[in-house]
Amino acid sequence: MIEVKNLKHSYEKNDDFAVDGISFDIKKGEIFGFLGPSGAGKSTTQGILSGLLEKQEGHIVIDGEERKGYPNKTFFNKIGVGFERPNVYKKLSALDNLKFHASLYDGETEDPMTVLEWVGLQDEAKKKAGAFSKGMMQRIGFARSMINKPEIWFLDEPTMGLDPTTANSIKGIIRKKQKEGTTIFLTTHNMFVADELCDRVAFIVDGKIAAMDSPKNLKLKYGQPVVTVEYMDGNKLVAKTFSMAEKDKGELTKFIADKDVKTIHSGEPTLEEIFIKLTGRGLE
Amino acid sequence: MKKLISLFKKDVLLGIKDVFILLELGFAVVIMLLLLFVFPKDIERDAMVYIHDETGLVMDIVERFTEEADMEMEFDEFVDSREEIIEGMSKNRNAMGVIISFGDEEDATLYKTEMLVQPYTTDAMMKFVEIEMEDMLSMLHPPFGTYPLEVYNSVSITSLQEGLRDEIPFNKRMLPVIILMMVGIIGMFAMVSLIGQERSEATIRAFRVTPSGITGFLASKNLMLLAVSTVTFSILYIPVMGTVAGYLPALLITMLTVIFGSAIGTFLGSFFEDPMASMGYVVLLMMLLSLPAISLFAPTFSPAWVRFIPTYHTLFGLDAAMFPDNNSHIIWNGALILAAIDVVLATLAGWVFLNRIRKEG
Repeated sequence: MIEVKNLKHSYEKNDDFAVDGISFDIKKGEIFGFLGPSGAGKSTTQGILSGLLEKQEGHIVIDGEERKGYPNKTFFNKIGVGFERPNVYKKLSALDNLKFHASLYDGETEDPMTVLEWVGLQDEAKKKAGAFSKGMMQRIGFARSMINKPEIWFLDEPTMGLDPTTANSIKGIIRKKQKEGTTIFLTTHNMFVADELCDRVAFIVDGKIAAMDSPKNLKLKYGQPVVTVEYMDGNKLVAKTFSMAEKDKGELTKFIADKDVKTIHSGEPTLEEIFIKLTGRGLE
Repeated sequence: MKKLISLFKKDVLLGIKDVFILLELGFAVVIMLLLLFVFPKDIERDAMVYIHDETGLVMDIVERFTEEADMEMEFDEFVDSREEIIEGMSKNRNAMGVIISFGDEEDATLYKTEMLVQPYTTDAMMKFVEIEMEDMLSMLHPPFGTYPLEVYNSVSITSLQEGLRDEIPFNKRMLPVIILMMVGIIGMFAMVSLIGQERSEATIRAFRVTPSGITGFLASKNLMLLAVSTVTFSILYIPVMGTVAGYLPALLITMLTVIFGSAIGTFLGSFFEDPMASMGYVVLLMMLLSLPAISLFAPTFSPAWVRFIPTYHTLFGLDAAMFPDNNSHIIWNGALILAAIDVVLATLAGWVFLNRIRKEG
C-alpha cells in the first residue's frame, strides 16, 4: 500500500535533514508504528506521506501512485489524518465541526452523529468545542480524521491526554478499522500503544530508522527474557532476577531447589528497553 | 461549488460567533445614525433663488404684485448677470439660480428659463423651483389668451460643476471616507484575523489534508467579507444618500476595495500566525491608505504619488458616484484600476499564502 525508499527532507533545503534516507513499506490493512522521541522525524515523515509537506528526495509510492511534489485531490479523498493537536473550530459545536469537515470530501462519508457516538461524545454533540476538555477536543479531532472512511489513516499520538477508558475505546476503533481493511500509519512515543496496536514498528532517531520489525520479533531479537523469583531469606521476602539464556538456566534450577521460593514470574523486555538498547536514547 | 458553499457557511457562522459580523453591522448603524442626526444634513430646505431677468418683465410683474399685495419676496434676489448668480451660489451653498431671457429674438412674447443648481441639489428641490418658475411664467399671460405650451416647457436645468464641491453637506461629504475606513479597509483587518484564527487553532492543517484547495479556502473568506460589506455599505449609504444616487457604482467601487484590503490581509496573514503581532503593520497601512482623504477634502493637496495609493481611486470613485456631475469617467477609471490591482494582488497574495503554509507543513 505504501512504499518509501530513501526518503530525505530538509526544512532549510540544505544538508541538515530532518528525515535522512529512510525506507520502509506498509501492507494494506497493516498498522505500522513509527516510534521515536520528539524531534526524531516522525511528524515530518507523516507530513510528507499525508501531503502536508513536499516530497523532496526519494521515492514514495502510495496505492500504486508515485508521489511527485504534492499529492492530488484523489489522494486526499482516500486519507484521514489525526493530528497531535485537536485542530477543531472552538467556536463551532462538535457536530458542526464534523458536518463541515464531511462536506469537504467528494465521496461517501460517515454520519457525523454516529462517529461522535463511537468516540463517546454523542451527548455533547451540540456543545461548543471550545468548552470541551483537552481530551474531548482530542476525540473530536480523532472523529474528524475518520469522517471520510479513509483507506489510509495517519494517526499522530491518538491516545495522548486521554483517560485509560477512553484510550481503550479509541484503540478499539483503530483495531475495528484495521479489520475493515484500513491501512494505518501511527506515530507515537508511547511504547505501550505501539506494542498493543502495531503489527510492525520502526524505531526512528535523528531522521534515520534504527530498527524495524514486529514488536514481538524486536523483543526476541534484541531483548532477553527473564524470570523473577521471590524467596524467603530468613523472615524477609526477597526478589532475584535470572536470565533465560540457555547458559543461565542451570543456575535458576539450582536456586529453586535450594531456596524457599514463594513466587516465580517470567518477563520480557519492553519496547522502550529495546529502543534504549538499540539507540542509546529514551523515548521522551 | 458545494465545498465553497460549505466553506462560506462555516466562515459566516464563525464570523457571527466571533461577534465580528455583529460588531461591524452594529457599528455601521451607529455611524449611519450619527450621519443622519448629528452631522448637518438637509441644508437645502431653505434654498434661496437668484434671478437674472434679461426681459425685465418678470421683475416688473413681481414688484407690482408685491406692492399690490403689500408683501415682500424674501426668497428671491434679482441680480444683473449670470456671473453674479454663480458668485452668489459659490458663497451660499443653499442657493440656486434662474436666468429668464427672451426665447426668440423675432418673437419677444416667448420666454426661456435656465436654472442653475448645485451639484448636490436634489431632484425634489429642482422640481419645486421648476414649478415655481412655471407659475411665475403663467402670471405673464398676454392681455388675451395664453402663451403657447413651449413657454412652459422652456425651463432648462444646468448644474454648476466646478468650484462648489466644498459646499456639499458635511454628512454626505464624509461618507466616502467613512465607507473606505469601515467597509473597504476592514477587509484587511478581518482577513488577518480570520487567517490568524485558522492558523493558531491549526484548523488550516486539517483543511489542507482534504480534497479542497486553498483557492476555495480564501475565496469563501472573501465572499463572506463581500456579503458583510454589502450589508454594511447599504446601512451607511441608503439612509444618507438614497438608493438611486450612485448606489450601484459606489457599491462596485467599495467591493473592489474590500478585495484589495483582503488581499493585503492575506499577505499579512501569511507571515503572522498571531493577528496581534501584525497590528503594527495594519495600523501603518491604514494610515497610508487613508492619506488620499486629504486630497478629497483639500483638492490643492494632490501630489502625483497620492494617486498611486489604490484608495485614492476608492475615495474619488465613491465621491464621483455619490455626487454625479458629468464625472462618470472617474468612477469607471477608478473601478478599472482597482480591478486590475485586485487581480494582481489577490493572485500574488494567494500564491504567497499557499507557499508559506506549505513551508510550515
